[in-house]
Amino acid sequence: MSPPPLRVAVAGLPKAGVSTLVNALIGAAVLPVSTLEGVSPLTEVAVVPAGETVAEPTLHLSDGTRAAVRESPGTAEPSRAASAGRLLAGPLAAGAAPVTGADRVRAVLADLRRALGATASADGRGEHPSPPHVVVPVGWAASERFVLVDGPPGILAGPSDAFLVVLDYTHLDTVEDARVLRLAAEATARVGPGRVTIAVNRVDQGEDGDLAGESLRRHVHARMPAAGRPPVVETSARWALAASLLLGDDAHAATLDALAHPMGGGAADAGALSRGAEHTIAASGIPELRQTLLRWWSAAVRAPHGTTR
Amino acid sequence: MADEDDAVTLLQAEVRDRLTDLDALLTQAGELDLHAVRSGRGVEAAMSAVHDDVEAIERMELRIPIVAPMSAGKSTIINAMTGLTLLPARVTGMTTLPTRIVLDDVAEPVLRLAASDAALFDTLTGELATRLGDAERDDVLDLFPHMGPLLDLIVSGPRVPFPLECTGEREIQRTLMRLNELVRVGSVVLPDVDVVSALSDVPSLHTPSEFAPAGAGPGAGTLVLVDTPGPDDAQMSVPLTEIVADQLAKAHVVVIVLDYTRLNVMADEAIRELVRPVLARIGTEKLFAVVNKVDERLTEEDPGPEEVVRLVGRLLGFSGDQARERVIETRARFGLAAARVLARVTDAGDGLDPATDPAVEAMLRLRSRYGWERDRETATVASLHATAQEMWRYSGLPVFRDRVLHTLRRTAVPILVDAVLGRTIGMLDEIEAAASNRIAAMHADQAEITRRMDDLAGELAELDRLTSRLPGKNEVRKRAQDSVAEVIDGARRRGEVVIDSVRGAKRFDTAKEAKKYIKKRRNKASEELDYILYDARNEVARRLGLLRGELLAQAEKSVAPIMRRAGVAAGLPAPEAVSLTPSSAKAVKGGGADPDRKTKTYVAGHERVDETLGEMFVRWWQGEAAPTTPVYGQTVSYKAGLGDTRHTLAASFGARVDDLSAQVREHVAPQLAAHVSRYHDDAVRLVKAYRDDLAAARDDLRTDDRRRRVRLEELAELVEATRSASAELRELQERAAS
Ligand SMILES: Nc1nc2c(ncn2[C@@H]2O[C@H](COP(=O)(O)OP(=O)(O)OP(=O)(O)O)[C@@H](O)[C@H]2O)c(=O)[nH]1
Ligand SMILES: Nc1nc2c(ncn2[C@@H]2O[C@H](COP(=O)(O)OP(=O)(O)OP(=O)(O)O)[C@@H](O)[C@H]2O)c(=O)[nH]1
Ligand SMILES: [Mg+2]
Ligand SMILES: [Mg+2]
Repeated sequence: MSPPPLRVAVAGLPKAGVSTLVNALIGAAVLPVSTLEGVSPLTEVAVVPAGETVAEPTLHLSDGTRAAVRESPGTAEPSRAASAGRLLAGPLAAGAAPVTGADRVRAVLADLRRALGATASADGRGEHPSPPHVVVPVGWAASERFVLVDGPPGILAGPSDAFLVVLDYTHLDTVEDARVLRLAAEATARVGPGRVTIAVNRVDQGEDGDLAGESLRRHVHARMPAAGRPPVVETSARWALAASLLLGDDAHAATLDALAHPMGGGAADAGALSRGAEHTIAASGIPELRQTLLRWWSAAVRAPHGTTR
Repeated sequence: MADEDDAVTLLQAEVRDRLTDLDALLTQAGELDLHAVRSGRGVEAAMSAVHDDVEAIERMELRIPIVAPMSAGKSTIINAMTGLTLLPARVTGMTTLPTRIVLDDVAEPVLRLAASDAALFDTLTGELATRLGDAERDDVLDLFPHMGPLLDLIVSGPRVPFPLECTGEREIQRTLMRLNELVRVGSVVLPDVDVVSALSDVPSLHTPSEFAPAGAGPGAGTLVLVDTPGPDDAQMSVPLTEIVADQLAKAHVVVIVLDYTRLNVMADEAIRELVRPVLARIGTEKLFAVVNKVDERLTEEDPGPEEVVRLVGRLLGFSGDQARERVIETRARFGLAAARVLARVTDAGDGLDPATDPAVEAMLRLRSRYGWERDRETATVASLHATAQEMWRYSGLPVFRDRVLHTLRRTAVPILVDAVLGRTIGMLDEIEAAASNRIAAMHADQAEITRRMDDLAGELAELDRLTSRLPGKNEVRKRAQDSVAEVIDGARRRGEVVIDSVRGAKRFDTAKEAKKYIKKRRNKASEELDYILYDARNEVARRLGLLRGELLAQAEKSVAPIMRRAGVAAGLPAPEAVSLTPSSAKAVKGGGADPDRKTKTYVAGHERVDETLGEMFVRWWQGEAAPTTPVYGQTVSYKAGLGDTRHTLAASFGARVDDLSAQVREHVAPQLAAHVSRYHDDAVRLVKAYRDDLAAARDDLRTDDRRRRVRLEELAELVEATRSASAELRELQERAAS
């Protein structure tokens, strides 16, 4: 019998790029991303080896989600009501088939985020027991299985096999950042530093002379009030995602091109763009994080009782 | 245009003269002993306010603090306005010291520091040099790993006093960076020293601004932008909140910067709370909001410009039209990159070398991440100029400049005049009311006055009773301490348990292993201790917050009916904001890890002692055994005792807990106490002023007829004089508005 998937809570400073990071890890834009509008509602992303069960990202919604959308207050606001209506008529209708394809899944989850609005509880505990569940095939897992749980910072206080804590490089040292680090420290105290990793996201925003490498690591550790020193990885999820979309499929070239040319007038030659993309991915911290996940998996398979579930 | 300038100059002169003319009237009011002026502070206070206003009108400086959560881009925006990197900016918290930027007609930027403040920083540097041991150094470097060179300089660099004045882009930036970093180092190494509030003034930077030119005519004002720290800095949120509040209190206009990548989060709420009391004074029409970093807008789901306007407008209480006019989107990083190139082109012209100029590289990198090197190869000065102009427009800063800075500069005189006249008229109205009350009282009979006074005396006695019964300063201090004592004791107890568990000496063969063992035990314990402290600090803040709410609610509830009965027109005093989080403590340290070296000596065997032939013969003849000498062996082991570690941990932890409770005692609780007692004092002062005015009226009634008639005439004259003065000022105000 194959071992159960490893459950990894991915959470952090609101807007630090948690959902983007999950997308970058799975190499597909499955979770909706935004600089606005509350935090993402709890969503499970099940990572499975490519070719095993599903061919493309597949979203399963539960009765619990249907009830939550029905009961969500605040759907009086027109944009919300429209989202709720679309959901109830389509993917949440009784007997509706699972949603397939990254773009469609993302659109449905975006509707869900809008429909649920602020009712998606801030600490993630009041969530109904079966949150939206997306199964995503990836090429970098051979037999390993993970459930990446994207949720509000509160899930760092809950049970999980491992924790990926996301900080925002451009808002280190703020009062809110200190709170997240505190949750990270508590999680580390529970499961040990070998089962926690801290991703400092948005490092693409750094300029010459800003904290990096060993200094950054020391800085983050110094501000964790207790318990062990989990690894710190510098990530740039937004760029990594755009780059891997480009490499996966030319139709997505425009995304990376737009990122690289914020004032427009881009259309760099295709060669430069794909060379840049490879370089960007290599430096994005995402490959390291995938390795971390695989390491967690093999450690858990070797010591199945080490989990805190 | 010239006519307009003249008109403005005339207006400025007229206001100044009118205010100066008020001296006589105010002196008379003072002699007549009027009290219920300026919230009961009296005529003296009114006079000094008028003098300040005269000065403000003469200098025509419009003070515009730029406030924002940490790292929103305040410093970058101001830099972009000058085309120079004068203010230090970086991705982690930078600014700790407000800086005044005077957009002036000077030829090149000059940074000035008051002599006493330069001396203060010299003293701070000296003090830090003596206090920076290895442990302190580690503390600082843990938090600010880039500060190594600065620490070296503090400890062993040449003692050069801070210059009172410096020029040149690099020199100014370096000096400001040094000043700001010193404040940070100070906050770690000397947590009890509050450098910023000890300053007599803030550093002041006079700079020309190519991008916000000063040439708006002689009647226009001077804009003074004030760069402020982000008050949500976890390390220093208490002192920084005070600093920002202080700058806001002096504002004529306020610019709030919000970070597009973090709209709608807690930090914005905090800023709005800080700004709220100022808005009550200056009005939302004197508030502008800049939403920076919109270059990060990307997906279809990110809010577009209209949504941003709506959202920010709602946050700050703008009406729809106001919001469209006053919410401005910017990309300051791009603005600065462009402005630097534009400034270089102006300076160097065709001499600008695209291949080596750092400003050019920075701009091209921003524009094209993968193609900037190729772009640089083909760049000419003309093409760079065009690119820079395009990027400058893209940055949104021209809109900020035109809609905010230019408008303000052009309307500085009317804004200042309006602010000053409004305040003065309010004061004159108070004087008039106080004088009229006196007259009315004197027309009533003595009995009536006495009754009114008795009433007031009753209310005052009631207030006094309340003040004495309600927690006074010491009481609040005590309650604050009591409410957190449990937390602090609990932390101490939990700490003791942790420290006590650091036991179990072990022997090792090598020093390295022994050290490792001690270190491991020590680190584990100190982490747990840090955790305990962290917890305690947060709980302290939470409890003090509750206490504040409780105290103020209590004060308001008991004071409100009294004020109502006393008929004090001014109503309840308004409490200001205070911050109650103790600043975070340093990590708990556990001392060195030196194991005891133990050597044990034993007799490993014996060896024969060499003998001469004669000695051997004598011994043999006497029948003795051959002499031997013992051979000693030695074993070395290392005892990893934990006693020292335990003691240093206990000392370090104890010091940190003491520090926390000292902070509550010395800093937070007194602040809270002062806060509540100020509220009470304000109420008492208001009622007393009313009573004193009545007492003066009764005294007048007790004098002989002739004196009483003179007094009545004087009061009537004063009423008349204030009326006509304020009518004139109102008329002036209207004229200024048009
Ligand atoms: N520059 C930059 N932006 C990023 C990066 N990762 C994410 N972002 C952007 O940050 C914004 C927020 O990203 P999300 O992934 O929605 O962040 P989140 O933490 O899931 O946010 P909530 O769930 O709403 O708390 C989006 O605009 C992303 O494009 C990054 O590495 N660099
Ligand atoms: N992406 C982006 N980054 C910006 C923008 N403006 C400023 N930044 C960056 O944001 C960081 C903080 O900028 P500062 O100007 O130091 O911000 P501040 O508000 O003065 O920060 P403190 O003084 O630390 O409170 C720096 O790394 C800037 O380069 C912008 O428009 N877009
Ligand atoms: Mg999210
Ligand atoms: Mg700054």
